[in-house]
Amino acid sequence: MLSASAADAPRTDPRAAEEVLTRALRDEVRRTGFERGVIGLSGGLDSAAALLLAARALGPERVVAAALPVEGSPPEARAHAEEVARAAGVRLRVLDLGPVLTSLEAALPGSGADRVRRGNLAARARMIALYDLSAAERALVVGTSDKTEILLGYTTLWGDMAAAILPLGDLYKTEVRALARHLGVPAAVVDKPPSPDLWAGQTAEGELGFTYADADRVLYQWIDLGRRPVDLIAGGLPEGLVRAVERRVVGSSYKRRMPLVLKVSSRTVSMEFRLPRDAGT
Amino acid sequence: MRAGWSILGWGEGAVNLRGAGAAAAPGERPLRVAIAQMHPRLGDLEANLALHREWIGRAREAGAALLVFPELSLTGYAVRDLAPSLALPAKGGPLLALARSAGEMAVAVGAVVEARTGPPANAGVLLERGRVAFVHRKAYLPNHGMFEEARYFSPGDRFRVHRSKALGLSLGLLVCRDLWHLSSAVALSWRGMDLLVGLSASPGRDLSEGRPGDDGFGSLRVLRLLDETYARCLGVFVVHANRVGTEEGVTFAGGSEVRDPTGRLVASGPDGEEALVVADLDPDLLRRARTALPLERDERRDLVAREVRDALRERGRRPAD
Repeated sequence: MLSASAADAPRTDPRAAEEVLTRALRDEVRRTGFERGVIGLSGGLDSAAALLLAARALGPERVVAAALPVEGSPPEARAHAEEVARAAGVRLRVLDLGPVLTSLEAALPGSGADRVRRGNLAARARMIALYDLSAAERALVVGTSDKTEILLGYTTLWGDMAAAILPLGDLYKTEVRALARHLGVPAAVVDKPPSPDLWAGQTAEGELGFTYADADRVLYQWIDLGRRPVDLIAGGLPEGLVRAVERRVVGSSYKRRMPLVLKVSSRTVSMEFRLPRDAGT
Repeated sequence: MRAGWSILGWGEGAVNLRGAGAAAAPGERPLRVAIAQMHPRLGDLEANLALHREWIGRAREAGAALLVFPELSLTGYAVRDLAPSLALPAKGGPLLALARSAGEMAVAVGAVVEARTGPPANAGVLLERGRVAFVHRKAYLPNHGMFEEARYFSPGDRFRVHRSKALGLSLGLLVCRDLWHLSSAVALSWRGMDLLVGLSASPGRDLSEGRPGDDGFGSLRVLRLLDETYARCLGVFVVHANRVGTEEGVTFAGGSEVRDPTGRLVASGPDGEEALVVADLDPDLLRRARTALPLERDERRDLVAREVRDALRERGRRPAD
């Protein structure tokens, strides 16, 4: 943890966030014609906070929580998912995607031995399961990514980022942790090191090479306060940290966009012709 | 009640249909005003016209002489490239039909209004006695950060008041970002404004950090500060509607306000919920407030005009960076 003043770190009030996000989530789900939401529950921090928020916004009986384990998912993840579902008052469905992943690995040579490929396959298999649940249960897919992950691109394209709505997408990881505590997410889940659980022993901070608390300070000062990376370094933040965060953000911008359309006409979709997504609702 | 202002502390009579009681000012007939703190349907003109007729009906039942809707109440805020399809003629058409259904009540609505040429305007439209009485085209179109209004709309180029025979007051209309530019309200004040009608669709942002006294959206705190400042320092009534609901992930926070010319909060809408906010105003309070604190009389318009001209000349002479 870097030493810095509290004003240099994001700190949205969890009570205010709960109030605004429950109302907005309810409104945005209903305007799509859905009354229900479906969330993939990993046993980790973000999905726990998203589930408790959704249960408050829509009512626990209108939320479908699905644990989607594959071979290699840590055993405590399942227990944590159950604990979180209990705290939210939501019934947990456990759908074993192990055989799906095994078939995919058999069909795609080398994918099982490459942990990044295997991790991406697992994330995308979960996406398929959630969108099928969406159709089966008439429930909108509520994603769980937070602002830090979105900015760092620490996600699988068309995998865990695939969702209709991201209620935590404007809160940094450290803010999600405060919100989770406020919402009553079990301490074991709030306090464990974040991990995509794509392979045994994987931790997000180990893989990124910096802590979320440090990343959040850099991101918040750069993006929210409008300080330039060069000024953050001059102000005493380690250059290695600032540059590593900056590289990840800039280098992952393709993950935050729809596919490029190659322009030939005078009015191109999403360039000259932009429509609101919520039109008619 | 603020110290030194107790003599002006009547004419309050906030009626909020959520429960508070009414108190009419002694002697004068109070002016009952209302705000439709509502949630329009994005891009659906027909649905919104029906919603407007419902709110007008409710305000009529409440006995309101003036009803104020928020910015772009007939279209929703984030219309983007739907703007040309949603644009209404300023004269005739659906606005005239709505004016007719409003009858005797003065009604301010937010609409996309056709321009003579080019992109349409984001406008506040005053309907009065069955006709379209006045149109203010938003002069300041925010185009930074999350805003892209200048991409879709043409800006207005004037600040004028409307002398309302029905209400016996001069009304000035400002739309959302117009209110953040202090000179807009000053310009209207110089033209004799008595009542400032604010139409806003202010996206909630800068959520509280949870310090004491720091509650809700920072953007909403600014609106309240502006309302109080204009009411008190220009000596005008302020009836400011801010919408609620969400669009494109953005939350509109409500918190509409009615203030009297002493700056006092007469009635306010709840945060985030639809509500008809009703308040009784004592028109004589304009005279009394401007007598007790004669800022409007003492305004040195010649001095300000001279300084503005000088400053413009100086800026014109300044070499480019």
